[in-house]
Amino acid sequence: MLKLENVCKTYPKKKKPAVDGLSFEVAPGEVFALVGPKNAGLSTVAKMIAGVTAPDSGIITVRGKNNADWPVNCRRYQGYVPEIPRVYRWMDREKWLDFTADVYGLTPKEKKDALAKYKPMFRLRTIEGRFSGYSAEELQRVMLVSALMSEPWLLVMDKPFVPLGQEMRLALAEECRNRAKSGKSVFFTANTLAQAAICADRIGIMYGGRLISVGTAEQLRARWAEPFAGTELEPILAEAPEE
Amino acid sequence: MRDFITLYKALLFGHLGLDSLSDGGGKFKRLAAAFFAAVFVVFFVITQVWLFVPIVSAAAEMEYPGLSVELAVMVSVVPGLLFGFFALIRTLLFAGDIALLAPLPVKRTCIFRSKLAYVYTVVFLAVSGVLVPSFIIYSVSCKAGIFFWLRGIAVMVGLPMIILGVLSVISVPVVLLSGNGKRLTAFSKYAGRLVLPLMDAGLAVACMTVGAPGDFLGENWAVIKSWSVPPLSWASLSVFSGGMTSAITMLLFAATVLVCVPVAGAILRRLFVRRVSRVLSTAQDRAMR
Repeated sequence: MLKLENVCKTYPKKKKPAVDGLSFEVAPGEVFALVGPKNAGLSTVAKMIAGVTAPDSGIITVRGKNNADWPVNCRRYQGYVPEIPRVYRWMDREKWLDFTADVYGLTPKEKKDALAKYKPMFRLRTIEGRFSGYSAEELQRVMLVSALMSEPWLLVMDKPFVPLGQEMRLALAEECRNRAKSGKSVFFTANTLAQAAICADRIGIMYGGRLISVGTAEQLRARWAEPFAGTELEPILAEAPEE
Repeated sequence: MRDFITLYKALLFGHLGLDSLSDGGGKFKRLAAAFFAAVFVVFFVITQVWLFVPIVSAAAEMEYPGLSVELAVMVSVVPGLLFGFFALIRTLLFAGDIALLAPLPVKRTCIFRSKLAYVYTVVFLAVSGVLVPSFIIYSVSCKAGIFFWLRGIAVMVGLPMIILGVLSVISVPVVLLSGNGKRLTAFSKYAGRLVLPLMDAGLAVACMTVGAPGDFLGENWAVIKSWSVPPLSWASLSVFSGGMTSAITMLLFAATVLVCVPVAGAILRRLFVRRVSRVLSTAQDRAMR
């Protein structure tokens, strides 16, 4: 579904690469998460997959199509939830969802069905007014619905759980698992293993723009607890606090 | 086509609609902003009519009624250039919504075309805001017929394209010299809102100081003629003069428009692609609109 081959990215005026020779694959029906501390290159990877930024070298393919140079077909296969929501601030929830549905070419019936499914899931009816008055969580809920509306083959999310409350986190995790069951894939980033483990089948640990290790949450904890002890990577392995 | 219409609609409502009038304000604040905007527009039309009716009569008395049309065409270029420049800066040259649009399944050319169509609309509205009242007054005073209006509409449609051509040339040094355009975008946002009130004030001052329109036209005849250079003079001549002169000047005007469209398109496209590459290489996008 998603394949990254030796992808590199260095931002202008920076000496160190944000992403350095990254390669991994996400299979159909898989939920894959990348975990790492701040400045590990997680957001850059999500942005490159979504097409918001271009890699300097390497190949990103979505369902076999090269993601370079703004291919419209690749975009149709995927839904993107950025870390910082990007919306037209003068719009309200309905106008934004109409805009997204039009851009993705949804028929009125598809749009109606999608909204009937996702609006209650993310409790959108409780949000009113223009985006300029929304909280971070409310904006994130709208972004999630707009990304899911087109029923994308690949859902790309950049730290999606951070602004959400516990109830919405569980709803999103449940949706990710359901998507995987129906053969669709999910890629997301997180700052801790605990956040990723909510729904990810496989997790990759990233540091300094490089992929260090891939496995399940348990495998990664067992393998890296000792080497990470006392380093800045130790907090990412911490267990989730009890709610 | 549907993507183009969707993006164009979003730009139109976002920048010219009721929603755009007050950032972060509630319904009451937006309605208040809409009320003031309407007052400025009505005041603009009233003062323009107040000023233009005696000018048309005076020009007719001087046996050159077309001078009033020449004056209107010349004056219409000023708001066209100003509003067009600000719209160009905010929506195309330093567009703040590239990172928003990049992950969506829309072609880059479609985004460019919708933005260009929006800027054209802004220039068209600005030019028409001056030309329509002037043409109405002229056609009533001089009993101009349907052909005057057909030629007038052609000029109203074509003139914004010439203005876009001029703006595209001006844009090149502006883009090259203004870095990431942060200050220029902020300036455009607020200056764009001041243009209409300032033009209202200018017209009000003109109403009070012009005095007798006949004397004004007599004193400024040479100035008006010297500023009415081609293709503006071709545009005005094609509207008010009949017969062969009208046909020839209309052809010359149309030829200028046909040259300006691809030139403006090519220059602005290059500048837009430059902006997109910049956003894609840095993954940063200042604004959300």
